[in-house]
Amino acid sequence: MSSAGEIVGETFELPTEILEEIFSHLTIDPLCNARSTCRRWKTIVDAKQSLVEKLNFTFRCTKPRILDTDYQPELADVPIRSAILSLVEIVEIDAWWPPLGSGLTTLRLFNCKVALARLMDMLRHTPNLVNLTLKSLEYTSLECAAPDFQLDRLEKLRIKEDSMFEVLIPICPKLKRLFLESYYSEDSKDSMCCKLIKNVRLTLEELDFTLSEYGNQYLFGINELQAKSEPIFPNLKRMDILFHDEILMESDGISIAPYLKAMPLLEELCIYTSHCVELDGLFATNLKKLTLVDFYSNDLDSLAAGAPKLRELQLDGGGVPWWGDIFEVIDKIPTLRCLEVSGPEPISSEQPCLTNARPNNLEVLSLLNN
Amino acid sequence: MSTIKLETSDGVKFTVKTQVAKCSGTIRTMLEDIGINPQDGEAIPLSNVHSTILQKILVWAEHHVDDPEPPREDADAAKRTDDICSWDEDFLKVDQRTLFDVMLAANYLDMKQLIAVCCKTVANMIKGKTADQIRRTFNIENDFPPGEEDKIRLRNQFCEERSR
Repeated sequence: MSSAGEIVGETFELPTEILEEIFSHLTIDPLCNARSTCRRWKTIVDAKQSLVEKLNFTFRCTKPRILDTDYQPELADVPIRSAILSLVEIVEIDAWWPPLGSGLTTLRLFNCKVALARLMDMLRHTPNLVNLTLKSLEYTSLECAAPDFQLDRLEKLRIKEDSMFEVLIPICPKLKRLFLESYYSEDSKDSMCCKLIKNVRLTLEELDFTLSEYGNQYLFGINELQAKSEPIFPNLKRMDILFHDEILMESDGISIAPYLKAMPLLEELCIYTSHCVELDGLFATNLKKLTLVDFYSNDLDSLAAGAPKLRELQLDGGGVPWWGDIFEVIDKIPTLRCLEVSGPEPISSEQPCLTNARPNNLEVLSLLNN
Repeated sequence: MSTIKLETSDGVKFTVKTQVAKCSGTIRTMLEDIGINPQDGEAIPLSNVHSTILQKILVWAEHHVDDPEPPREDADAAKRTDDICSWDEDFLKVDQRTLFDVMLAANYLDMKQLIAVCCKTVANMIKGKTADQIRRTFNIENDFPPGEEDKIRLRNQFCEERSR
């Protein structure tokens, strides 16, 4: 008997579904090799969504050049789902973009020069887009007609708080993840930005942005939603927030309780601030992970009552009254599995007292004192 | 213990424990849904399966008849190929013609676990080989027009490590 793997003089015609299952066990490199074996295998791979996703064929145009009417990329004979354009100036798209754009689920543009209207033209040809990143773009013109299309599938958007953001948000009805590169600017920009965020508040599950004084008032301040005690972000699960310094001019600290009330499903919260974080009165039944960067806090033990499901606590920089506070937290939150503390300066010089701590449930304990 | 008769494409009749025969979704459906009554003594015709292959498949079914239902695999989970049990590994140390005939028969008989273990075995035969070595292993004809294969291989450079 010959062993499997030896050449036998027949061509086997396994059914498509069997070959699909065989291919499903292959990682990228062997799958690429199988795909370039013969027409039939290539056709089977290219037609199977999960295999195409695994291959993640990406179109890259990342050398400085002008994409005008002469630009004719050698488009691969592959189902391209992802495209990266960087360092290019996009002048004309009619000749090359539509056939490429129609299959894309991910598009990333970095350091490109483009007119706003041209960029919108590009997006008109990407109805299947799920992820979009626009970073460090230079707009050669800001003129743009109101869009006559929607990006019905767009879920994840990484963008700067700019004119493009204003045009784009209203046509993204399914947006779940918004990473907003914001900068503090004049009030009119801020108010526009916050209104746009409010437009997508019902679908958002993840939000990353800088909160300005205006945004703080507008999104989280006393408004008609809070009066009705309706959550402001009813589906938000993850929030990464940087408090702009100006917010804190008038107060000594940030009380995070009202924010958490506005986001009842929140599971992960990361706060960047160089001021005092007041945890008092906090009530976040779903909170699993809390990260405080550059914070000061006097009342860490409020977490015990207010965040009964907390599993991970990261304290990065900042300060606490004394080290013992941190260990008391372990003691009081039995759900805590991970505690990472990096260099908060205890105000008291008293040594940490570990005798009461029962870190039985802790799986990760990391203490770094700078 | 109840038994049923199966008749292969070359006219050979097998008497098989019903429980073992029910490893085949196709036979199970015939018995349960269509209501073929094995007590009649009439053999169920398996017109797509040769006796040598059925013989082999019954050995596998007999060994695995008491296996628990496998957990439903997450479609996105990375699929392993290093979890073939040593009994199956030995069982599938056969020439390629037989391996593929077993797969075709298992497909016809709707035996998902046997198909799965065969697919993993073939996947392991593909791994670590160039396109040309794969062709030689499976006796596949390169039917790309001249020059196109180079292009296809070039295209593979479009792929990158999967991003999050």
